[in-house]
Amino acid sequence: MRVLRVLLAVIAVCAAVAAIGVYVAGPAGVDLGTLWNSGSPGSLNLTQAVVQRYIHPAVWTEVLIPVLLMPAVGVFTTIAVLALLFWLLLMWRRSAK
Amino acid sequence: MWIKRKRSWEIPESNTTPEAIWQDRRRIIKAMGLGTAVMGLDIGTAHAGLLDGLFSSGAKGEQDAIIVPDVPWKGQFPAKRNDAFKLDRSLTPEALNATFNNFYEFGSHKTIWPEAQELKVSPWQITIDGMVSKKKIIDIDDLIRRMPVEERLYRHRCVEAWSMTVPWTGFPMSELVKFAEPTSGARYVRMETFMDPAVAPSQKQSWNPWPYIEGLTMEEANNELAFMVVGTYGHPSLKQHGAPLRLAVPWKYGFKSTKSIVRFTFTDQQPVSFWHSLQGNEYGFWANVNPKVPHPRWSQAEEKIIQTGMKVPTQLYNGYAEQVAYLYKNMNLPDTVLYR
Repeated sequence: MRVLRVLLAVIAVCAAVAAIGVYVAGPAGVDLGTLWNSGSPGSLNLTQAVVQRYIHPAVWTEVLIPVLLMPAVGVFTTIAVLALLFWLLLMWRRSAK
Repeated sequence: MWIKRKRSWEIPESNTTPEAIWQDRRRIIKAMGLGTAVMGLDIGTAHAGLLDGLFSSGAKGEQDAIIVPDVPWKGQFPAKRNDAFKLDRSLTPEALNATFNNFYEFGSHKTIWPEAQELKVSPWQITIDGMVSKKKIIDIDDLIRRMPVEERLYRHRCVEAWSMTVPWTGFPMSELVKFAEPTSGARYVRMETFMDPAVAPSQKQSWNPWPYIEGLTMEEANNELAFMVVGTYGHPSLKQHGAPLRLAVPWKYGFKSTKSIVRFTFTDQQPVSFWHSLQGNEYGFWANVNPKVPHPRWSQAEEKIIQTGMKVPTQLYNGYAEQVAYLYKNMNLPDTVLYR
């Protein structure tokens, strides 16, 4: 449980930093896919290939493309908030024991 | 004395896969323990899934993938085979060819044939513009009727280190160039694929520079091997093969052979191709086949023939050096530019 708490805290902090970084320095409204492609086109292409060839083509087209088309700031903020909420939940359960 | 000089790409009959092995290839390769992931990861990520395509597509029914579009120009088939372009290697069975395709507009996997059926190939218009005497917009069936249609047998070498042999039906690209009437300043032909994200799901990926663009120099476009394809295996092209009009330039890696073309633009500027703008150090403008110049992530020394599963040495310009080497003789370009 302790590992999970640490992991959630790290995810929350990283996602928050990423959201702030994109908001401050990135192009306004940039989507996640464009941001990823500008930083590492090879890894994005590889991810698509692995998902479509080894999991299922529809996972990419129906799930991941819509996510990658969302604004990067929104995605990172959502991840940060969710990670923070789960971390708080775990902390609350720990103190309730 | 008449001496038969063997062409560089001709291989001896002894290298032909026995039919019994071919018929039983799936069981044999599986028995050899060549698991999908192992093979893919061993050679390179873009190569991953080769055996996936071979095996899993079979389960769906390879014959189901041969859906010949009902198009007005079907009367042109079968065309007479031009015996100047033949191979000493078995043809890839159509059922296998129809179920193992790269068509990035529809995805990064090999079994894109069901998705590709969404493509509407008739009516289809071609635009010819740029440095030409007069811009032209022509229906594909009208264009085909004006062209000397014939069948040719070509090797096809993918950058992912697999190959197949295909009976293409089409016409020399030089005839298209002649029809376009480019002005003397034109140095390149830029080719553009259709753009319709409602049909092709990958085109929704805003981070990719759609539509798919490729280009050739005028010298390459006028080379005898550059071929505009409108059919395969004696009938109109299947949609997954890039119907209704695609390119075949067999001395280059497959991604140069643009599919489902809607526009030819003659220009004096070297086109920025789709893959070059994405990963130029891996998939460049020239992309000539050379076994001595590896892809940054895997070797190009050998290729896997998909109908046999066997690996054979890759040849310079995919075995077509006699026809095309002169095009690059005086180019002072690094190997990593000319052969990637």
